[in-house]
Amino acid sequence: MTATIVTFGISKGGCSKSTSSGITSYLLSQEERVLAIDMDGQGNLTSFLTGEYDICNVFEEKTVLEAIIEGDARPYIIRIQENLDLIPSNDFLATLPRHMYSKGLKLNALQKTLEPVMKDYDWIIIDTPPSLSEQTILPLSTYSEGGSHVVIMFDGSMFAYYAIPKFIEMVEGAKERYNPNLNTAGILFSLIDSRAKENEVMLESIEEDHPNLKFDTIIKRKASTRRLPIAGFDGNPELKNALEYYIPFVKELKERVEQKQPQG
Amino acid sequence: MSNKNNLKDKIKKPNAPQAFFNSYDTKENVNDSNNNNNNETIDEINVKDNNTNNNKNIEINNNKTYVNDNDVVDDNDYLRELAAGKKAIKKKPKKVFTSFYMDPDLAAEVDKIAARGEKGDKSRLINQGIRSLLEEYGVINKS
Repeated sequence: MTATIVTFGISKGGCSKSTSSGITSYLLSQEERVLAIDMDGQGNLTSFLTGEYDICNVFEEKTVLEAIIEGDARPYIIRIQENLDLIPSNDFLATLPRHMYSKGLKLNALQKTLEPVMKDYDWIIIDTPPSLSEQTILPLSTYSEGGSHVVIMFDGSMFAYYAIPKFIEMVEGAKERYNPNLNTAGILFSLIDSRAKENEVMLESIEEDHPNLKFDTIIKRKASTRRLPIAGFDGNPELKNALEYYIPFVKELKERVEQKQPQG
Repeated sequence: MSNKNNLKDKIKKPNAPQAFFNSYDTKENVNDSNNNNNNETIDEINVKDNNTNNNKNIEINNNKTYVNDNDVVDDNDYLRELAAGKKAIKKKPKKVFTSFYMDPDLAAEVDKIAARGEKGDKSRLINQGIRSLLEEYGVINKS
């Protein structure tokens, strides 16, 4: 069986896509083999998992950009820890559309890039930028026999509320043209301020607009979670506290994904 | 798939993601068309006006466009007269647009020669230079 792909996305920044994809990768890797892929040129997932912030120099020509251009992910996979690998990114990912045009690559380019390693992992977790672009559409267009799923991040804001249908349009477009088994696993609430009075209205609105898509788990912002990129996972005394809301989310994600696994 | 989507677009205005996907469909169609016709492609050189700045790098893209062989005109005599400072007879062959980088010294010489001529003379000169080289390599037939 090939890896199950989970892409984190939303057409608005600051909704915890990188944090959520990083923590999800870490938690899944406790029991299964995980490949995390950073498709955002900001490289926050890369920095989060590696602890390296000088990404342009450290990962120069060793990123997902070069992997896609060459059509082979293998030379660009780096080991984070047992069961957890990463294909990093840096700012040069901004040149991806230009390279794709000049090389005549299509929107299934990431799928071709990942094909040699699809069976090496149980999960492929992909972080995307908050935009309609190749960096977002390529992961959505990546087919896997093991299933391809999307987690839509939502921070409770009006901007994110109106970004959800836009992102769903991207998902539908990719599903129609490249990835027929693409499935929206759910909408994950990651609330900046859990006390904000409009949250309840937003919750109801999302339930009405997108029935049964909202994850039961709600990620509430915690200082310990915010400190994870500083303290890291290993030997972090507040790790349990930092992951408090993500542990039930990952459990829920696995349940939803397993229900959608192709039969036979 | 692309024909179906094109038809959909005529019926219903595409949203942004559909327009994004369609942009790749269009490119695929062009590539398919290129393969089916199996024609040669000729790039026209886009020489920027360097009179107002000293940047001698000349930027280029690799757009490929078809040109009917009948449109290609031998500019050799015209350019020889132009380079020699003689009055040249104007010709207007059909060209296609592209861009590329030039060595600074070559760009300077091209500018000097073209400054004595008219609009389009830079393109004629570069075309003739590449044509001569490709004839020498045996890539195209001598005109």
